[in-house]
Amino acid sequence: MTELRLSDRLAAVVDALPLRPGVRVLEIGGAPGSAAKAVARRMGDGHILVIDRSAKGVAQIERNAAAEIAAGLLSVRHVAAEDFELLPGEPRFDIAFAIRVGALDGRHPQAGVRARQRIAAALTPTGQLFIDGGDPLRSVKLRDA
Amino acid sequence: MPTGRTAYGSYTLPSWVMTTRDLLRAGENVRFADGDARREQR
Repeated sequence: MTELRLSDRLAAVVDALPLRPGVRVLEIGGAPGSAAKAVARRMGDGHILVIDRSAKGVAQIERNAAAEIAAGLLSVRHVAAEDFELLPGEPRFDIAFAIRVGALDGRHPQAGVRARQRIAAALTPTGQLFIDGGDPLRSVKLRDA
Repeated sequence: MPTGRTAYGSYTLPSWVMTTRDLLRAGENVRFADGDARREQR
């Protein structure tokens, strides 16, 4: 498998995610695939889908995570968070995370409203979205209690 | 305060978001989406 150096910060992010065997994970803006590859090693027979709005970014992930993709652990989709929809019959995700994604970290609030709606629709009823800016992560409220 | 631009338009970096300069310094594989600025301007 292609090795990408995982920074201490991203390693801490992966450590903080509530991963378990069989979990379904959605990463938003995950190019070049460093964190996704680390997640793929910790989820047993689970699955991680990485979405990215950049065609170049998607190509990077496909190249860097070719082995994980071939093993069925990881898949990649070229789509922005605010346009993301589950495919027909695609199971919902248990966890979503986004690290330094402008639509979710406060840089682009308007895009964030739509992105959070789309992510909420793709998560299980108890699913959670995590972003950076916490210690090291913070959970984003997606629905009313 | 750092400012930058992505395909969504220009932005001012919130205090809790690391600058690209800091990310690079931290050894991250920083990748910019098509059309994004390479650095926040200080």
